[in-house]
Amino acid sequence: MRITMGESDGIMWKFLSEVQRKTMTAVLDTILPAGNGLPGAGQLGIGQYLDRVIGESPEMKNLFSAGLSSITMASEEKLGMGFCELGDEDKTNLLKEIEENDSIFFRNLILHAYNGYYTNPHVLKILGLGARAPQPQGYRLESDDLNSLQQVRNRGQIYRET
Amino acid sequence: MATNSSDVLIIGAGASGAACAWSLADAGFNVTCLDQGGWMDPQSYPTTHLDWEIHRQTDFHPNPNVRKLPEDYPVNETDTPIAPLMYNAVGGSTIHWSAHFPRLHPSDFRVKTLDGVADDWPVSYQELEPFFDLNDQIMGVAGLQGDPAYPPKPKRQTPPLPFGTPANVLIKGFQNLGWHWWPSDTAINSQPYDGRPGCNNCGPCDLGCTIRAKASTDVTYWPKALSRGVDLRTRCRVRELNVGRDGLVNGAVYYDSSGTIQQAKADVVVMACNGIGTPRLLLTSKCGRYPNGLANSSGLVGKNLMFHPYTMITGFFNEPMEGYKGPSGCSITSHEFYETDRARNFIRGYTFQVSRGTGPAHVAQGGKESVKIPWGPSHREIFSSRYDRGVTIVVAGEDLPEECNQITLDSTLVDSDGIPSPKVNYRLSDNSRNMMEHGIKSAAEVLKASGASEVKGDILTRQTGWHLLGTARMGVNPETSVVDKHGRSHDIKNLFVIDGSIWVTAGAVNPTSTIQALALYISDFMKNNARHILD
Repeated sequence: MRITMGESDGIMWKFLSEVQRKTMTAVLDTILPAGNGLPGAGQLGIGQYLDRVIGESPEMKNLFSAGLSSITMASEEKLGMGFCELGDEDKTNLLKEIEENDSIFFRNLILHAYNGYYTNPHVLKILGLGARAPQPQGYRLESDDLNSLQQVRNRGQIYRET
Repeated sequence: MATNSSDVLIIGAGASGAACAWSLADAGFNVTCLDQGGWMDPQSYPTTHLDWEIHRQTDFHPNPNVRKLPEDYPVNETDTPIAPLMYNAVGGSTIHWSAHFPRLHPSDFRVKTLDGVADDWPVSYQELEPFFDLNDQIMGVAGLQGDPAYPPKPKRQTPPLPFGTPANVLIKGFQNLGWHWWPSDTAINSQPYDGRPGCNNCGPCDLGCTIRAKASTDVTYWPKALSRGVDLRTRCRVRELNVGRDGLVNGAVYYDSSGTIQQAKADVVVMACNGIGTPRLLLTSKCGRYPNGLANSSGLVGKNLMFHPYTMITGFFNEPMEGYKGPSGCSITSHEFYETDRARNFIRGYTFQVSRGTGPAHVAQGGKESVKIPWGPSHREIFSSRYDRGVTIVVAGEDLPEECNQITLDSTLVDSDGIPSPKVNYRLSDNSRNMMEHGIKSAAEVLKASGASEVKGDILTRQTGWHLLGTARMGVNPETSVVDKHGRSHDIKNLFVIDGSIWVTAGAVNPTSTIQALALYISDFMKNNARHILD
């Protein structure tokens, strides 16, 4: 019997099993699909970010264990196949049902998917921010022509005397 | 238990505590200051990290109930639509602030006389002017003199911060409508000043300024105060003030940084814990002589809590706004609707601050306008229409004082040292509601006049209780106020309050400039009357 270690891809996964990683990748690509020059969240590997966040908290482990399980079960029971095998429209509709039935899990899924995706350096680069933090470089801004304030000055005092 | 004695003991090392400590030490007084927070290390602020946006949701969240740092204390916020926000550290809430630095208007000190509501302050704008100016010099203000919304002010310490595309776009709207606008007075260096560099436009000022261009009191007042010999003790949490047999305060009992109980003695005690921390400690310090808490013969300690109700309206444009460049909270402001106009269905008024952009994660999660971008097939297109396309007008309204809006001691919630937590009871008045509705419509009008294709956001925003005012109000009459015009308790002549608690009315602007001017004004009184304080 060959045992595959969680680190077979070089990453020390904290929570997601090999099967769950595949489901999570498909879920993330449904939540944040590719488009407008940006990759899908699953394709980009945001599952790794979620794995780290979930792995830090027993409550989150419990929530996502049950949540991912509910996605898998719903897919197999209603559509007779695993979530990863569904077409895009079926995936979206199924997740909408999960969102309605399990709002706490889904809210956390969206929160961390958005957080992980929009702080990813690859995404930040495509959005024009550069693959960097705001400091220490900062940004350049030109100073302004203040002549348009003359219109405000011409109106005169607008505060009340006492 | 170690004991020691000083001339003045200040509780709180934030905006007002720092100003007072410096002023008194500069005049030769022996000053001790206690704060339950510690020194911040600017190099460790989140803006140097790629995941800076996420820190705003966790350890750098403005709400202590979310942040839950060791120096935070829990606040019962179940009975208020506005959540109180504050920070315990050397620098206090100025660590997190966006450095808006407007003054109150002269009319804000005469609300009863001019508008027939609330009360007049026992001090005037004119009396505070020298202290506003002094405070500006120490904090460093970027801006432009000549604003017709105010009496003349001296030249600001540095020129206005660059507007960036967001403000430049909105200036067109203000000009089209003929409405007032002006570069915001901001406590951020636009150029090097007083040994601190000019701003490099990194964006998220609320996460702390790694380069110290933003004026928090740990980098402005405190170095000067320490060089004048102030004994600043950090991570020291005051449990109660002590009262002697003569009915005067004589110091405080506190837990030091190792958790050991200590006593600090002083001839004069100054409260600088702001509108929630100050009444909390005064009420907690009740004793045989003062069973309703200290300084509370009027019954008003904790009452008349005022916030500034806030709403945030975002206009979306079809061109990049580059809103990630520049101090995110500050660019230009409008006082078009500040003064009372009897033709409207509310008294008093509000201001606009034109806010720059926000990060992509924040936009996806709903942005300042709190409208989450849906997941799934529509996400990309909606995100593209919102990210770096939005300019937010932040509308701040004036609250009126109402006794039912108050801080009390919670019956069960305590902090990690067993000290009772504060409970906030607050509701928005009809006047405030009408005012905010008017503000939402006006903000939408200027955004559309600027060319916005879409406008979003029309709710009272919850996480906006930065300004904590009114809970130990000033006044001439001891039956209707807690402290006199010099911040001195009517009941206990060596107990002073110098923070936002002493405000009589709230105005419609960020309060820190006026809080600090008052602190300096009160410090001046203390210096000039030191010999007679205990008479």
